Amino acid sequence: MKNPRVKVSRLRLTGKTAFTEKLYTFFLGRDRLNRTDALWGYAFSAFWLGGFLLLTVGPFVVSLVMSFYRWPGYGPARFIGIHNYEWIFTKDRLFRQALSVTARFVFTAVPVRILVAFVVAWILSHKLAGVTVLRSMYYLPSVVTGVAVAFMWMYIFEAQNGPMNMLIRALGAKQSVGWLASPRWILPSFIIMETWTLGSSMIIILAGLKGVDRTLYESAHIDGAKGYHRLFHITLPMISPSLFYVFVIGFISAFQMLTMPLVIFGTGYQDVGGPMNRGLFYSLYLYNRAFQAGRMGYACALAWILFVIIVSITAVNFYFIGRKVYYEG
Amino acid sequence: MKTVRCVLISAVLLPLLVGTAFAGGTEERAAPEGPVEIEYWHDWAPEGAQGLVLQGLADEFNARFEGEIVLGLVYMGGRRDEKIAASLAAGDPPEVAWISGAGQSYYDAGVLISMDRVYDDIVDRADLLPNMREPMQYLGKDITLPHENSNLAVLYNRNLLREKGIAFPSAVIGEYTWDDFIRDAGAFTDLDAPTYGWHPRWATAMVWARFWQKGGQMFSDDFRTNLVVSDPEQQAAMLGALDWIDRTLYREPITANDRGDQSFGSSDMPFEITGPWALPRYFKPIGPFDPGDIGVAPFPADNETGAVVTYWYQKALAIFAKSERQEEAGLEFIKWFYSPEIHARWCADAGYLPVTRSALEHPVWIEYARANPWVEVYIEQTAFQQYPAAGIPRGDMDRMRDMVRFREGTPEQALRDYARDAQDVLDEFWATR
Repeated sequence: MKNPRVKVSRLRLTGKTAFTEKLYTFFLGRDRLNRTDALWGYAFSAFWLGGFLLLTVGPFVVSLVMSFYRWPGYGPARFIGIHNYEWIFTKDRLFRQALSVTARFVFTAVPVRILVAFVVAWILSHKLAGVTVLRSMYYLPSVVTGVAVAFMWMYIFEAQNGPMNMLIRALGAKQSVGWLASPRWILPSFIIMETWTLGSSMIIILAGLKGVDRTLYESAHIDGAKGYHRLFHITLPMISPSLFYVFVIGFISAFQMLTMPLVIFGTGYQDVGGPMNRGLFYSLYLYNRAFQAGRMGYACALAWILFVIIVSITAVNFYFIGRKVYYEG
Repeated sequence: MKTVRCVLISAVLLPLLVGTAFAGGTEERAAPEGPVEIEYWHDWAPEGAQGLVLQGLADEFNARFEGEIVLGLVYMGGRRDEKIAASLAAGDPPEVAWISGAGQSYYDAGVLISMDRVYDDIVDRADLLPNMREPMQYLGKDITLPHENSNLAVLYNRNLLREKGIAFPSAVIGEYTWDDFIRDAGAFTDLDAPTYGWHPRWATAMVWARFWQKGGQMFSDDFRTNLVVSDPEQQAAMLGALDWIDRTLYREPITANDRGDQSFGSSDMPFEITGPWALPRYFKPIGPFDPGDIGVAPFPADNETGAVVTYWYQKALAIFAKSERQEEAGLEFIKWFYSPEIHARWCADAGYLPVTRSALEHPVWIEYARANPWVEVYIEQTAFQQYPAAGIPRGDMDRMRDMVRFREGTPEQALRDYARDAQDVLDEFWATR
């Protein structure tokens, strides 16, 4: 028996040009039966799609265009060709400094964070008394807003009466450490802060650990596998998708680190990135150029360079590490 | 039919979204027939000494112009540039804003009103004290209005100096030198405690002052060449200033009294080098000192050259282009704010120095100066104050300072690093004009 909807649909499209048919196929699919459903889909997602076009794709394109202009973010813009990019790559020492600070942070903080998150997740994957409370406690820092976290650490690292320095002095040190006030200690301080917010990584790794089939461990045990054998040959391969996800997301977010350095160094009379600009993270420098130095066009160029860097590193991660990830089934 | 419905829904939703995105905006905040609302964006904490004074003046202005103009104060909270830039991008800047520096980026973007309007009708050019306009000029043009005047001098705690048997610094300009100061501050330095006799809160400003005291001049007269990059005499002057940092500035280890004004305010540190604006913080409304506890001495002179140059903190009032009614209301506020009595009261209560002769000669200021003799030092120093060229990039002075301060390199290395990019930054400034 013939479906009356098919007949109606065919009738409706009869007489359309080949181009229109291609357009229909592109947006609504080949299956004419589902075209009305597809249209409804578009209608329901129209609000989101509109927002995406206006608020994501629009600024994306505008920022690319403005990166070729001298523009403070308001008023008239002047086309200066590739000058912004040329200056960034050939003369801008702060760009190199920001890239260096960010790279050192990313390549130190992300592995440290994942390692600590793995250890914590491994501990919390066991049946311990109060483990649910412990899991909540470790996850809690991840739901605290970055500004509050920054203020808390500013207090903890306070040069004189901060808990960290009080602890150091109580342990016998004669002098305090200028955690955020000393060029030598800025990066370690930020790595500590970053590691503290390991909750989200920990939860993902924990979920991975809980998902490992127990029978694998039992089989390995029967075969005489020791603890490190089980770790390297069962646990790590089995949770590699979780680890890889945490790794990729960690890299991307670490490259975009802004809130904490902005809160900590963004006011006052110091350098934009703290003493010797040792806390000049890339996003902080970008923010400074855009909103403090009145160089929005230049900041757009910096943003595009950061975009290319992040995409490239993510691609490299997928190519070299993603291939080694074990996806069960 | 369904397809038609889909299209109709989309047709309704999309314009709604677009409308939402572009809603709000740039229309006047007041109906044409009502009072004009204007905003003055400033950076004094509302609960601080200056913030309270400003609020009092704003209340007075609103009472005086009731039914015509409503003045609102907005505290920028230390993020002046970002907030003003955001307001300009949104097409709704404040009518007036207190800014540091000359505001050249606003001038370049054409968002300021012409200063001719101000100087022709509102503030008398001849009433401004000598050289007050210069820091507000950019490439030879007036772009903003001087808001108040201030420079750096030495504040000392009389009680702490008495306890150590140290003589008070001379109040005569040029007599108290950096050697004297380092000796006196050094008497309070105990690296085992560790404590230090002085914390240089305004370090970059003092590097400038020391550079000028050594005879330094950063730029050629046409602002096209950074002389410190290539001129041996200027390099020697900068090395002298950097060497001074090496000898005197606080650095690691963190000392027990490293919080500058707080340490001075709590009598943990005998010296502070700061502007006149700091004194109201100590004296009122909750300051810990009796005015008799604090002495004020001139900014120390250079030991070798005897030069007494001090740093001039030039603060400006930017007046943004708005609708005609709002601009007129903004200018009405400026006219009121710069009237001799109000300007004298603002400066006296907030701890600044007036920028106009009429305010300096007003009975309010005369009475204030009689009751607070310390202000005389700052007034006398106005003849010796200098400011860095407005709007001209100066390279990374802070980094040069910190390299020496944190012993990350010798003064020579710091200067070499600075010279490496200083001329490039200046060249780019001119290349992209």
